[in-house]
Amino acid sequence: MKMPLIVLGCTVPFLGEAAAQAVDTSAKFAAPKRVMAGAELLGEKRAYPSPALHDVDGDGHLDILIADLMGSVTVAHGKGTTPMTFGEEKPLLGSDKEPLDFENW
Amino acid sequence: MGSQFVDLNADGHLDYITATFDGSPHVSYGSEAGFTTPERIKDAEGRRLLVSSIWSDEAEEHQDLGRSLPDGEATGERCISALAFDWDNDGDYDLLLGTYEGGHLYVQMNEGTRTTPKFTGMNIPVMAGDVAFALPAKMTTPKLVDWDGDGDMDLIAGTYSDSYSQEGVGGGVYLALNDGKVGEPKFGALKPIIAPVERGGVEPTRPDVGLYPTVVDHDGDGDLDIIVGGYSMWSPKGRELNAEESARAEVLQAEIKALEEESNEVFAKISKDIDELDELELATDEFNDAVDAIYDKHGEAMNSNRKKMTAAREELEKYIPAPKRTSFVWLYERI
Repeated sequence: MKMPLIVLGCTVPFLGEAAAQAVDTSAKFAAPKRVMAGAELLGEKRAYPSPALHDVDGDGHLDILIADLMGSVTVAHGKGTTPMTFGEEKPLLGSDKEPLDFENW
Repeated sequence: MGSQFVDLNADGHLDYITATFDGSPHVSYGSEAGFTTPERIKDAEGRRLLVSSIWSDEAEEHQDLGRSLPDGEATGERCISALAFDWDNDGDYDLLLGTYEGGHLYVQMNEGTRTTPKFTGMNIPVMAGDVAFALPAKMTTPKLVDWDGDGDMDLIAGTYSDSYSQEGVGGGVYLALNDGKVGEPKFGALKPIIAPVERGGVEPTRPDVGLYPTVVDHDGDGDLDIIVGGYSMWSPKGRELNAEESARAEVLQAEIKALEEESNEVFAKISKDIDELDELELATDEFNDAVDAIYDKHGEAMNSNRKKMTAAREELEKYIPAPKRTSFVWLYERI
């Protein structure tokens, strides 16, 4: 019977074969929570959402960008709060004022 | 598609570095007006950077090349992640290229300058401890971060695991600490900091597959938190059904099974027809046109099957919810 293992600050069912190495227990985390962008869940239903933080608008607050498998990129502007909160997610526009597109697929 | 913002060409504007599934790193240069049209990053000879496997726009096919690996042998690995990093501390950015298959990491040196990069076109394997950096569950993207606060850059990276199965162990996030010094990085063995776990449950509780991490002090408490994009997979608990609903659910399940078998038969026919085309050794355009014709021939059957399948699944969802797979972005707050 596989026993629950207390790691990362929350109970995790069990470690599978892929986690052959010891978990780095020097880092403990609270149970994960979904990030919001305004009133919506950030990155919901995007194809393999990949987050990055960068002050896109130069206002001194980090914004959160979500790139995806298709090559499209959105940005949710940081509100400058602590902890961080973000506004509505919108396409990141390029220098031509069109949505930036890396044509990933 | 991992993202990084650095001034690759030292013109005072941050550039957007990434890699795509075409197998090459890309850059969207920053400018006064914003990010410009993305382009592939090239080596000193003007060739696109790659590890081995690429999609060739010119040939309209996947190709596997050995020109960028030390022994000249193609490995089938595709570069899908890229980071700019001054590996040798000479003032210009070198590149780290990460692969999907095998989750390997390579460094490609810049023998030019900050303003005029000249990448060698040759990938040198990055080590993690005594072995080559490898995440066999397929790497999403590496990220550079000073995790232990010792002044040099460490590496974290996520893994995909099996992206579609509702069972089995999912992906995780791994850390390789840099035990070297600035200009001579030496990464230690990869260790999980967000361990992969058996996927499942009745509601989304974490990212299960396709874990793309980034690091930030989200709550301003002085330590690094991790934000992870990925797919969660769960099986909602169904409600209690009365006799009539149970009977209807059984009928729908049988109908769906029959439609799946019918669909498999159609695809088997399509495959057989395409296999026969292969033997004719047609030119690429002729071959593509012939494949389109095959799909057109079976189009009506496929569309009809698809409509019936959708209707049956939508109705079954009212009685027995289907397993779910939805992407979100998660915060792991360090405590």
